[in-house]
Amino acid sequence: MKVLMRKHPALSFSLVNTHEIDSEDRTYAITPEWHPLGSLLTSIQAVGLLVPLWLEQSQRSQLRIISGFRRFKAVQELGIEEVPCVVVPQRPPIETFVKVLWENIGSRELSELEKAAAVHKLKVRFGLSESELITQFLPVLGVAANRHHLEQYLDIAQLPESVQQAMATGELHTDVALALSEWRTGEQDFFIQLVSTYQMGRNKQRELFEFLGELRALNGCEVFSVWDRSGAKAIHEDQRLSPQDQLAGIKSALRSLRYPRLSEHEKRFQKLRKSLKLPSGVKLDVPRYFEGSQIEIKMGADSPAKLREMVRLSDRSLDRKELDQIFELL
Amino acid sequence: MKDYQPEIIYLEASVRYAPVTKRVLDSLPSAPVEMIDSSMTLLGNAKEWNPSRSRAKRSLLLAEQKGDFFKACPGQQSKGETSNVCCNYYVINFASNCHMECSYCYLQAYLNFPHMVVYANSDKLFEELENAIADHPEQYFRVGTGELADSLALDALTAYSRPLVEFFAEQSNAILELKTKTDCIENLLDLNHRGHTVIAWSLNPSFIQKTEEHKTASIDERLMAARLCVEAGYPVAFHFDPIIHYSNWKEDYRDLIKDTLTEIPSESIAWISLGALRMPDTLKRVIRKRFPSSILPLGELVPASDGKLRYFKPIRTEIYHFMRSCIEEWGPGVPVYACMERPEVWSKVFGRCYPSERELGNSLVQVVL
Repeated sequence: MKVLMRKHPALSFSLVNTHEIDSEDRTYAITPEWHPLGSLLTSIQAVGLLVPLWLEQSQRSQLRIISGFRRFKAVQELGIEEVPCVVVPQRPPIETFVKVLWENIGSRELSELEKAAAVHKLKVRFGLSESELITQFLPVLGVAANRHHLEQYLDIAQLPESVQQAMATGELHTDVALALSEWRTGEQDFFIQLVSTYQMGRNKQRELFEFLGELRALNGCEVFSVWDRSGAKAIHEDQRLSPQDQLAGIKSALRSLRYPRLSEHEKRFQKLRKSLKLPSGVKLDVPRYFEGSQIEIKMGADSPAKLREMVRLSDRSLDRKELDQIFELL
Repeated sequence: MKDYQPEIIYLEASVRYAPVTKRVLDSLPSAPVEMIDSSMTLLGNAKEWNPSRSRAKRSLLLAEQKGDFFKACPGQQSKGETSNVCCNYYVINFASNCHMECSYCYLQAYLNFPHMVVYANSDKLFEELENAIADHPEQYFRVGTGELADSLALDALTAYSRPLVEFFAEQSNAILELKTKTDCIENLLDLNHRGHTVIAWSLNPSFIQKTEEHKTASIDERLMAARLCVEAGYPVAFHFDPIIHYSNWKEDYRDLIKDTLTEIPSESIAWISLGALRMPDTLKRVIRKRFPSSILPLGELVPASDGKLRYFKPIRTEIYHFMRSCIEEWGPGVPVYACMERPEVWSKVFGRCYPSERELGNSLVQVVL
């Protein structure tokens, strides 16, 4: 087979010494610097760097990376001194950045953090207007073209590194991460640790965040004080409990502090219901959150005789004054 | 109160010659005007651009009301175990949205059209009113304009209040209520209202007014406006709604009730309504985002049977008991009702519950007519 090849007038491979590359210049990077290298290290170790870095001539003495930040980091970690590169002449930075963005979009799925970094760079570093970002770039990134999403991605880009890292691992949900940015750094790390310990899904994260956040705002204190005062800390440290029971206990302790009147009412109801001494198989319930005026009784039996006996025993229970007191709770 | 000054006026071609349009344009000679065929274009843009709510309100749309101006209050529509006691109210939707930025405003989570809107085809409004009222001579109508907008916030531009007050002055079975947090009463003072229009103010303690009702008239300004309306012969009303439960609520509401009922003679007060804070869960999220320092989401709010978040029932009952006893102390005999509350709360607070919404509504109309 005859292979037809023609040399590109502007592009040619070179072997470049890593010292000639500016490792600090992240003008065109969209992947966070802390992003783990994973199997890239072992791959390069096994077969070398197959895909060359793209570099541009810079007015500074060193070359600037256009594409291949992670590969370069891996090469540095492995102590490789010369890497294959394509060196191109310098173009207006916005032009190069957009090309890099297209190249990334075309070759892989960008993470939420990478999309956020791209949008943030386009706005802050390259000065694009909100209108340009919404109409030209959000659709390219697969994001609905409206201001709400633009603002959300700009906020994500500015989240602290530890919060972004928890998002990247999938541990922390985006809306909780965004809300968490209002807390102090130590409080953020504490919450992320909780999410990780109890492996909470989105709804549980939101619920815990809401309890802690509202109690924190109500009491004008840090989250640690809420954690301690509510008794959640003691439950968290109780080694006799399973993680599941710990989490349920923590939630209950925080709920009691957040909704004191409701919790008091619920306890009173449970005490009164117990005092009724209803026969087993009979359930008495009040409306959810006591919103309503009717009390419900449910009973079940597998024979007429058992049902009659249940009704007879219930009748005695319902004669007690505690039933009137339960109605007064409504 | 902060006056409304739009940055742009969008004008639907179909209402370009309407008298309301002329009044608005004459009042805002320097505002740029853009003629549009239909508000649907703006709605499409709003969905795409999703401008912040505050920003969107800087645009005023003069539009044609293509639906009904005159409707039963949505509160009447819930029935069954989830139902609250309503007051058989009717509403005129002559405008929608409000520029005053109260943190608790339900319009933030209710309206899908973010701009300020005034419906300028007032001929249709009066035609609907005439038909509805004439078709039911046996029925009393208590009609308000403050459901989707403040009744008077744009009155300096639209003067909508004038023909409305004059229309209701002629009715024998209908009264109008203009509900506001402003002191914009200039258009009202020289009208021959025949006592058929009630001017009503929503009131909250100054602490809440300053922290949660951002661009509204101060409480002193509202009470001064009420005083002037009383002097002009109008019956007035007060809505303590939404009542906020916070650390100093008792002292603050007691002072507010005392000040109000000392300033305004009881015999001029048609009614006082009480309504504790309530909101859909979506609104709680909007409040957190738009007004992060608001204390409202921090109340002991639980999901109620109508799907809204409300203060836990014993708290609501305590609030209403307290408010009612203060009103009784400073304004004995003034009719008081609870807005959108459960029958058992009514019974606990008032000792009885009206057998029907119509009966409650009629009792309020008859205070005035």
